[in-house]
Amino acid sequence: MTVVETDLGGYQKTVVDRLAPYAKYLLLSPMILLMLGFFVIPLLWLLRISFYESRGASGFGIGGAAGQEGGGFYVEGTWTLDNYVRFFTDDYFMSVMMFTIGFALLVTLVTMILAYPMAYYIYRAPPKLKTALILIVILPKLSNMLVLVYGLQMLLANNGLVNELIMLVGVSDEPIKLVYTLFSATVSKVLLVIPYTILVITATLHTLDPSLREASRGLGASPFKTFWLVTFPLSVPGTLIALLITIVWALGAFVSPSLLGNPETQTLRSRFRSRRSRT
Amino acid sequence: MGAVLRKYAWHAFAILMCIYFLAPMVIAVLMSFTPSRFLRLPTDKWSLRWYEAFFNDPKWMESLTNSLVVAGLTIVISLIVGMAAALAFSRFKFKWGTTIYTLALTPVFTPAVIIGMSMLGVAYQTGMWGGHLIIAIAHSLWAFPLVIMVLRVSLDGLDRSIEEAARGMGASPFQVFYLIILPLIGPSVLVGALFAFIISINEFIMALFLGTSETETMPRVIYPTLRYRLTPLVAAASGILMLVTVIGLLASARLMNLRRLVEYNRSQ
Amino acid sequence: MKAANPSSFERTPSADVPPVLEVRGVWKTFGDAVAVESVSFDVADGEFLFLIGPSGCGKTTTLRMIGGYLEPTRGDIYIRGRRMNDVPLEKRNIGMVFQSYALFPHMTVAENVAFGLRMRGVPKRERAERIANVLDLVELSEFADRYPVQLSGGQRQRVAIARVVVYEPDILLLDEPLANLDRRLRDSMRVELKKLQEKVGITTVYVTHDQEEALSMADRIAVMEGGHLLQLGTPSEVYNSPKSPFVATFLGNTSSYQATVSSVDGTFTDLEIDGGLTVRVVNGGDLEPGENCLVSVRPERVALFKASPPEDQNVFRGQIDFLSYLGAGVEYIIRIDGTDVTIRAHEALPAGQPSHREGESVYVAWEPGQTVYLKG
Repeated sequence: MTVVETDLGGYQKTVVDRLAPYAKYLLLSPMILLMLGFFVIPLLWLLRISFYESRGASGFGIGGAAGQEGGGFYVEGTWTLDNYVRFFTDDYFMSVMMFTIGFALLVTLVTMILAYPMAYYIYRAPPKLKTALILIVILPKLSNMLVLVYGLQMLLANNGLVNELIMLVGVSDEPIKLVYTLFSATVSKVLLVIPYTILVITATLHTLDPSLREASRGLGASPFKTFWLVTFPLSVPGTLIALLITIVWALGAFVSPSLLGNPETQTLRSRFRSRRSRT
Repeated sequence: MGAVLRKYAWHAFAILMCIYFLAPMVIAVLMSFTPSRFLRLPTDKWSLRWYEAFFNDPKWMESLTNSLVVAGLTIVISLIVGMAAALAFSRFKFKWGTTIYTLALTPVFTPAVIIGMSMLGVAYQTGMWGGHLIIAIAHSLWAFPLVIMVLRVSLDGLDRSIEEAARGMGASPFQVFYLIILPLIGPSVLVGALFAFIISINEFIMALFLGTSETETMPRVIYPTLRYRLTPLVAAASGILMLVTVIGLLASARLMNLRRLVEYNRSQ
Repeated sequence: MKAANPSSFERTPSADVPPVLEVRGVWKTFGDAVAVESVSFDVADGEFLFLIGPSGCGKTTTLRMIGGYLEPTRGDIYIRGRRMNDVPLEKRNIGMVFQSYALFPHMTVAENVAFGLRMRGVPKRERAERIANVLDLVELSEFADRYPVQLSGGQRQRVAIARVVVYEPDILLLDEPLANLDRRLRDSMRVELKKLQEKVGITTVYVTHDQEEALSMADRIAVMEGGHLLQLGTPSEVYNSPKSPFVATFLGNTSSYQATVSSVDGTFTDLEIDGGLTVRVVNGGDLEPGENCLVSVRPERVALFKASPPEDQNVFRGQIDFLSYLGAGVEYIIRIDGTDVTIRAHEALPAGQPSHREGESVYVAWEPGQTVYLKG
């Protein structure tokens, strides 16, 4: 057997061939550019601004007026902790913030209590029902939040369906004030927050090996024991991620309280907004 | 006996949750059919007068146009970014693959206020502030992770040897993409586009931060109207948004098995 | 040891025609794991070569390196004298048939077959003609407009072959193409595939773990294990004269024993195996007294006698321990009297009934020339 030395010259690499080893980075580059330019850097910029010296003007000056030369509410190139000091020493800001955090925790608690069983229900549902439930759960998240909030408002109004139902059942003879209460604020905010929580927990449950559950049942554990000793402990990591997402959303959403809740339930951010609109 | 009761309680809970999810939307849409000048449920008569008013109002129509332009741009941006990234994630191994993937999904879990507020600076500095494009870019931050999720499920479900076969038969990587991969994941691409469209058409806070009166999208017109001038016209606008959203979602469910989004095992 | 009766269809590559495929000292490592270690072989024009071995032996990795689906860590691959290492796979002119067939589900049979021709810029009219010809060849003409889902497993398999054969690749690569078929279909496809390969005359590399497939279809077989190429030869060479214990046991059933050479006597050599038995083999001239080696004998070479066994053979008396009925034949496991040594014997059953029963006392006998020994 002879080695045939008849190599017909080197293969001429094309541009595509040369780029091929970098394909995976090229494919990722649009995303990285978008994320860096419009997500990461802006967030860092926001952080940086908080360390600028204030120019005294209140509000977030960029919209319109701040656009002019020398406009804006901060002095470039300065570093200071003043804003933080002022924030944490201002009774009004602090009270608003404490309320925001407390309210967010309440929303998170209610969301988690409702989300886990719902996620588990979806997880165990037969295929067709599962698809339908996922559609129903994702609908509020994808819909316009104003539509959602004002639909709830109509539902909870003094002459709304819920009050009519209450009077029909005979719990109360008069309509109960539901709108602009902590109750309505919670109900609306939970609805804005819960879809992703449910979907993340459902997805977590689906990563579990179903044979573990069957094995547990086969070994003599009741459905409840199986859930408590096998399914739930295994779903904890994913549930914690869902919890994190829920807290972020609960802190972040700011429109619904200003629409539904009374002035005391206004969160820091809606406070921020109304200040801005005044200036 | 107790077990049966528990089972009923269990189903009742799920049904109540579904009512909770659906009722606000249903009420909002029903209101739009009232013949009355005030926002109330139509009791005996139904009317489309507020929809007529909507389509005859140049201000609303302008906002609808703006919404559609922004949504169109959002589809383009999030499909390009999402499709490329989904291909990278499903066809290549990365050292920190899972971490990068998780990071790529963070924008979708970031509240709109944060995105909108933080993007003000970039928007202003690049002179894009107030334009359709910057709103679309902001919306894409919410849309592209969904496109990645949808496409990845679909791409990972494809038999890899189909692409290898095409390459072996002489197709270049690009030919493999548009002759084999694209036709096969077509429905999922459409689902991704629909998701992007639905997100953009409904999103309001980012549009509020980044748009001007020139580029007012529909939710932006709804907002002040809702606060100060509560007429059924708002309900009609909401009805249109809901209609678009529900049709989009149902179409997605037809095109693709949405169950796979939650049944998909990320760790594979 | 030479093969007793080389069949006529066995070909060895001749030196004057350059081989179509040359694999030269090829390695493939994944991180620390070595999948293929210094593998070299040639495949001649029109030859049907089998890569065979257990799963994880590196056979599929080798095939994928030939096809360009994997890049060798070290070593070179030449196709028709051209070094292929840097050539992207779509420019290699190979035809790969996958275990899953990998038919394009959104294209009809004709469109699937047309794909490779389209990629090569073959004009439409010529394309139609060649598609018609190849579909005729695989007897699927009336299925041209069907989609893959509308075909049976065997039909899909034929489409998978037709769509690569149609553009006349330099090498046909098959990765366990029959593994997804049921047994009956597999047997008939084996014949069809062999006939097709001979008709088209295409150089073929075929990966399988099924020894029957390899023995019945191959011109030559390359046995791999643990990333190494253990032996390359005609089916009868690797079957009858395995060069390593692994090859001996992997291809077909065999009874093998550790042995020590006790005496060398001209052409014959006596070996002592466990249990004090003496087995006589034909000495290739390389055995010295006191050397250790492995001896083995194929079950079908072992004959059973109720009485008066032939002379000049290895003869032992034993008892039938176990009998397994295989339909076309029967396999006995016999324990040699006074020892724990067992030996397998195969009996073809033209008449239908086994000639012996479990527990029966018999003589086992085989010719010294049928004993295979491996030094070391």
